[in-house]
Amino acid sequence: MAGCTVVHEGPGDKDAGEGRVIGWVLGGAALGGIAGYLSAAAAVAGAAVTPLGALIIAGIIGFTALGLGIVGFFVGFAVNWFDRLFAHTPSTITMAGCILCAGKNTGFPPWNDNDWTFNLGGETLALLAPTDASLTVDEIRNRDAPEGGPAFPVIDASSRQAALHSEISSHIGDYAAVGGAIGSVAGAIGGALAGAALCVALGIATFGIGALVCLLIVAIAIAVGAAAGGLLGDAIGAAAGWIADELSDFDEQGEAITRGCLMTLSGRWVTDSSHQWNEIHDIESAQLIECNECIDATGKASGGLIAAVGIGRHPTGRDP
Amino acid sequence: MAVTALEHRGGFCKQKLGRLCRIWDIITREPKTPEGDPCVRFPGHIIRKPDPCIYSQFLLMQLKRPVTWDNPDVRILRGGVEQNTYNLTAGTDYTIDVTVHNSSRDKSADGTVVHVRWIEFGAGGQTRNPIATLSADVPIWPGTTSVTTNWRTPDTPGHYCIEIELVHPNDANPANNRGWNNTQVHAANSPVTRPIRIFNRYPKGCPPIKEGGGPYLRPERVFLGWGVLGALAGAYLHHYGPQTWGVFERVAAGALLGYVISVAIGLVSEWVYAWIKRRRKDRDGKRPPEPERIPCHLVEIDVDSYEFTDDVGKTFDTDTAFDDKAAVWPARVEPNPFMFADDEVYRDVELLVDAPDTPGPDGVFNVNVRQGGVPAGGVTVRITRGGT
Repeated sequence: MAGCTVVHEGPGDKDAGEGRVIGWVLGGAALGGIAGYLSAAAAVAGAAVTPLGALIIAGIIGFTALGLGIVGFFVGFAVNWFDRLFAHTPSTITMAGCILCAGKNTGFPPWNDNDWTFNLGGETLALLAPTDASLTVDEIRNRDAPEGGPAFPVIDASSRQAALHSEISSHIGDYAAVGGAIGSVAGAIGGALAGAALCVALGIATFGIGALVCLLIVAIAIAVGAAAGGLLGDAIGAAAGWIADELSDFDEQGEAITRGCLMTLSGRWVTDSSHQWNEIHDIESAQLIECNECIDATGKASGGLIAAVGIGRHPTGRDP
Repeated sequence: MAVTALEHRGGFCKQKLGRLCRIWDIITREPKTPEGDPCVRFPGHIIRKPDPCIYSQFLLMQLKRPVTWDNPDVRILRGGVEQNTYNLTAGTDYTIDVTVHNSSRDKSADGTVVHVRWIEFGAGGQTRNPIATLSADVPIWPGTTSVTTNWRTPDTPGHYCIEIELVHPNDANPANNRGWNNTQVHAANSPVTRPIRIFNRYPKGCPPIKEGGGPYLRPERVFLGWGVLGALAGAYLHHYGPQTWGVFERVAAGALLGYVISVAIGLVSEWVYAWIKRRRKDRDGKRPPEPERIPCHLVEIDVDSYEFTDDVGKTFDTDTAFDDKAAVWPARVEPNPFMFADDEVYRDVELLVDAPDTPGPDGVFNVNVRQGGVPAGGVTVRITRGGT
């Protein structure tokens, strides 16, 4: 199932987070390349390098760069994952509006975080609380969070209506990010140990070109170990996250939500620096007012229904 | 009543195996909504919460609905007769009766705390004087619970507004918990002038708005990110360690040194990166124009003759219940709008109504006040004809 997408009304970089992760990959690869070069240089210290030796050295540099680039991806992704949301002041808001899109970003992390995603908007989009901070809906959509930003207003990709993106975090994304980072580091270390063990077993650790070959084996093992460990940690984290998701809702029945449902959402108001927009993340409480095709309904009718539920004269949820 | 997924499935499995059966349900993908396979299943612990609520003028004004300050959920009684908050007698015992609703169909709002307070009559008052703190167990909709308390008015004569605020730790909607009862009856002939005090919510100046300014150096990125990469690179360079050391000592030393060097470089480079990004953001103007903010000291007042017709469920017609109703007689507030001066604590405005001289039904006037664009409060004045 796909998550809900929004697009910026004007300027804004939806993929800012990807750029930052690429920075980590390149940084890790550069560190690895330097380490590989220095390591190879130490191995051949003073000796003439044959074409074969040069090729092996290039391989050492390349694979070490690849290995640390992979670790850089998983570590950078995790660091960026937990450092992308900047909370506003006030931190908790309650909004009402029409669900323009309801989705779940289902799939394998890190490509899919498995968050529940909603685009809240329509004519009825309104700020219900707090009422003592002189906030407006416009400000909710495009004020930069302290120390964060920039944040640009967005529209729902399908209906093209002004929207406030809102999400419920799945444990899958969090656990997979941590699992991937730990797994890639552990995999790189394990790969290095396995490579070294192989060198010792083959008896080539200390002999001329043998030392270079050994370094190459270790570099390849690091790269393979980092990739395998990262993916395995990611998968284990995702599985643990899925269990945590199910346990967190163990004794409850959910509610089917589709586009066109009127809702109120309360939660943390943040700037998502990875996408340069504001959102509610996480949604901490929600009410289904009614599913009445509010995308096309008049704002007056929907607003009246939100008000009636708000003062307890009408119940939440679908009318039976 | 709360309906759990377990309760939805009967039979041997549920009765004998309990939670193991539930786990099997999850693994075998039992639909977790009453509607079966949903497009998106909103988690139950987030969407199924109690929602204790009250007629909240502040919520309704945010939704651009008309309001009355004669709160249908709050009554002040003396000898069983409902009183107006403005006209209470000093040093006298009254009973305050509060009706608490719950809009949730499936979660009762047990243990709802009901704060009852009085504020000086007017709008925007920020000095709250506690009367009582009560507790209410509110059943699922359409059940309601009434709580009452006795209140002896202060011995010094004054005019009052009653504020009710509900608190529940698992509230589905925290925006509908505050309501006022702020009413006055005045018998008069044309013209009528009634003073109303508007309190400045920000007498010490507008609250600062904290926004933007970043990105700044975030040390945790360095210690958990660049440091780890540096440690791995350093471990790889163990050949450079003293050959008298064992391999593991050299690897550990290389990792530690790599971590320290990488952290040091990372702190500097992240700081420089953040500085460059901030400069570039300022220079390129890569910012949306700041939203036009309403000055926090601007007070805007409107007057109408809306009256709330209470009902519940399908008989509560949202079209008619929230239908605007213009002032029944010529009415205005002066001055309006106005700006509070710095350090101004309150300002007395006047409600001017041109009441008919002839006998007839009363006129009800709601004076609704916004400061800085957000609801600040209001009063409902009922003017009966034939007074002086």
